[in-house]
Amino acid sequence: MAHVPEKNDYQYGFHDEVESVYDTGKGLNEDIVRDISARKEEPEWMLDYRLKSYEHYRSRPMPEWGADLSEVDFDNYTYYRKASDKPARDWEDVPEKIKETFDRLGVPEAERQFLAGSGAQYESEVVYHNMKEEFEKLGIVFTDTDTALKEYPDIFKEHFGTVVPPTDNKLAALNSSVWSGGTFIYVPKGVKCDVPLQMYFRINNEMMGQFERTLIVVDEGASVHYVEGCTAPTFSSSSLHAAVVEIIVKKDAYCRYTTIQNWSDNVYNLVTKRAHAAEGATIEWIDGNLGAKTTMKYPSIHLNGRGARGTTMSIAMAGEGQVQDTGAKMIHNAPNTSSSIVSKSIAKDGGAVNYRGQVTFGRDSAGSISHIECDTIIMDELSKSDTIPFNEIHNSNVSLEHEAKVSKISEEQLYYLMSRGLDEETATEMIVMGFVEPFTKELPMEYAVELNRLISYEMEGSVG
Amino acid sequence: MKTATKDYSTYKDALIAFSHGLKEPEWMLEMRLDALKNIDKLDPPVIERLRYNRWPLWEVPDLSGARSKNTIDPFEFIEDKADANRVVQTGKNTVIDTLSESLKEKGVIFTDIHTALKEHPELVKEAYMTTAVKPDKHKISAFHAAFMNSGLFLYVPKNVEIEEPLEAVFIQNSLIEDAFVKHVLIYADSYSKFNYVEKFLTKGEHKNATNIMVEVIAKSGAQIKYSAVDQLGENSTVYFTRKGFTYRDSHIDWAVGVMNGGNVVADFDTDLAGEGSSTDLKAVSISSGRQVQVIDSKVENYGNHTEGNIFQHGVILDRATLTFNGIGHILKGAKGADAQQESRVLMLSDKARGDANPILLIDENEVTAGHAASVGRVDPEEMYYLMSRGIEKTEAERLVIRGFLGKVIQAIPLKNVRQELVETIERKLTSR
Repeated sequence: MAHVPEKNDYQYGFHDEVESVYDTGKGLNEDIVRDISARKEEPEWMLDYRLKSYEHYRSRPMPEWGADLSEVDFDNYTYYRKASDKPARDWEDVPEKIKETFDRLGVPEAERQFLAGSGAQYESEVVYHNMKEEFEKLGIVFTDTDTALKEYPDIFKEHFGTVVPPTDNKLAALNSSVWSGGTFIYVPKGVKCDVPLQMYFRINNEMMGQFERTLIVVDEGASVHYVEGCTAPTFSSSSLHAAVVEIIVKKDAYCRYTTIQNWSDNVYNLVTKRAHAAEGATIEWIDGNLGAKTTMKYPSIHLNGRGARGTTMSIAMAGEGQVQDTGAKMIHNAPNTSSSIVSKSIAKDGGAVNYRGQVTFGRDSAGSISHIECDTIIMDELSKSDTIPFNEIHNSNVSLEHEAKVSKISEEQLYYLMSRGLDEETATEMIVMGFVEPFTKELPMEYAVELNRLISYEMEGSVG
Repeated sequence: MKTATKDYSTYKDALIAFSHGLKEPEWMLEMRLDALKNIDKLDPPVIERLRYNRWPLWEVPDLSGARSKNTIDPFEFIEDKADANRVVQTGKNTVIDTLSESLKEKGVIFTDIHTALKEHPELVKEAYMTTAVKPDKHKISAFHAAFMNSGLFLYVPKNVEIEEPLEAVFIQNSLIEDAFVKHVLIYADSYSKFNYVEKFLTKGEHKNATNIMVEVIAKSGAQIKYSAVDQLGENSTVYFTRKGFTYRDSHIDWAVGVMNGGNVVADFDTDLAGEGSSTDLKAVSISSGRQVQVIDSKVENYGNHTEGNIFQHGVILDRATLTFNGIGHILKGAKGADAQQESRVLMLSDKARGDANPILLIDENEVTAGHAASVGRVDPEEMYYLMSRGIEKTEAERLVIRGFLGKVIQAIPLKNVRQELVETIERKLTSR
């Protein structure tokens, strides 16, 4: 048998000693919701919205399906923690310790090299946000969501909560009551932002709850590519990340949303992501899930306008103690819409990776098509995988094709590569890289390199 | 899922009298009374994408023990063939019960379940709701165990191979109001091999709760070809359990035409317990009118090198609903197991609803599993081909659909049953 190398530590698992400017202590109650709103100097309607959401959160039971959430202890999280006074536009103005963190994560470097704009959230607040001047001149708004509420109140109020209402699920209700930070993007009519905008999310303390709220509005004929990344320190106690992401893509516009989720393996990652596509619009979720203890995330697209297109391309890797319960939803509400779902999953060292999906063709979806592909590799005896897709059709003039495969690493491929002189480990890694290639090739070059490195690191020690 | 609660304990005395009236052995009565206590404690099975808590499935059958008045002429539904090996039941009564002398001599038992309970109590006791389905599995099985009021027992001894098909016909008596709780127990002993063909029909228009359970137990090396055409009536609300259990190297081949008129849960499930055992489950269905038919096909691979294939094709018309849940479950330790499935749905109406939910639950890595599902309209290329050969559109469509449902038609060994399925398909298709 091949030599089993030691598994390295999660390289982003470091914790920094950063004093908070303010936090609300453990647990949540109505006063804390009011406190968060007051500190943010929000308009009355937002406070009402938060309070109503809080009521719904309290009355709503936990989801009974999906991953096991019985160990999520809502009373032990800190729901709001502020680490710096206000978002800086220059890294030099970011508190030194926090800047060091993001330096170690390579965020400023990436911004200089290939991004149109970049932001960084630390705990509950955005600490840095900037966009290159050339893009600002085009009228693109790229800021944190709190600032957007103050500076763009009309466009904010028009769209906020219209895609994911607080009543959608318990975690969405929680987010709606305590949301803080997140990204706001508005791309004006006809403006094409060819270079990605990036946001980086970092949790630093243990038992922290991060509830960022992202709202992206892409106006008619415009286009944007947004990238998010996330990491956290490794602790024995859990943290909770419950984001809500809403995307509105108007007529003939385009939006791609790329996520590389690499939380440390003590984070519950329970995220609601949904997008509305108008006539002729295109939305693409590129969703990579590598980290977290438990993920429940099913990016969805409502194809509401004639000829709208939706794509979800995802990979999920679950290692020891991890549950990646992810998937996709495509709701065809208009004629001649099309959707495509490609999901690639890998389970190893006792991890569980599940695909859960929903494709619906409504009454008015004549001429629509959907193609769904789910492939899974189970690396070893300890690991497992469920594939649970639902396909619901209410129109006779549509076409849906669904395929899925689950297997271990192909022995034929392994044999072939090893007969060419590769050792088992290299051969296995090569097969896995080939398996996830449809995903990595969709990433900007720098991310693809990083992701390949991450996967290669995840695969270490998996043969033996 | 909540269903309307009912105090089933009030039926205890009637149930005891009913069981005594049929001279059932003591263990059977005990099983009934145990199950009776459990009905309220258990939940109905979860069927994905279906809420059936309001379905009228919980009517208790007439327990007075009176032999129901027989006003149904079975020859309205079957041919008069004196030499056929068959059991025909109308309502609770067995009206035809013929088995050739040569098969009797070989030890084959093919008779109604209460006769079997008297003549072969040990065999029935060994197999009845002990292996494939246990009474406390869920609310439906508990209800069934408590109120089962008629049925069939088929036993094929070791090494016996039967060429000619064994035929069972069940005609639900809906000329009267009475719940239909029918049990079919098929016990294939080691290395036996046979064909079994089954029909379920309804006579009459009463709205009757229908709880049917078929258990098929395949001992080592047994090979069973099971085919069925279900044509229960429009006013019958049905929970139909078909459950197989396989020992080492055995095989069950299911081919079922689900062509009922009313609302139906078809819960088809096979446990591949023994190493090297396998099953093919083929189901075809047409939903029409406003009916809801849900076909929940499940194969659970427990043993090493077990192989399960699910094949489901369906056509939906009018305002009907047809749901295919295909569930392949490979359990931990089932090395070399294979779970495959294919579900295809043809939508012929914009007011209909079709669901194809192919689910794979995999707890083991040395396996292969796959599924394919599709939903769409009649293949325009096939239509074009046929029409370019001078066939009219409606006729071409019929031919394409018949081909689409063909796998189950081909699997039926009896010509007249095959013909009947084709006629049922034609009737359902032309009713729109």
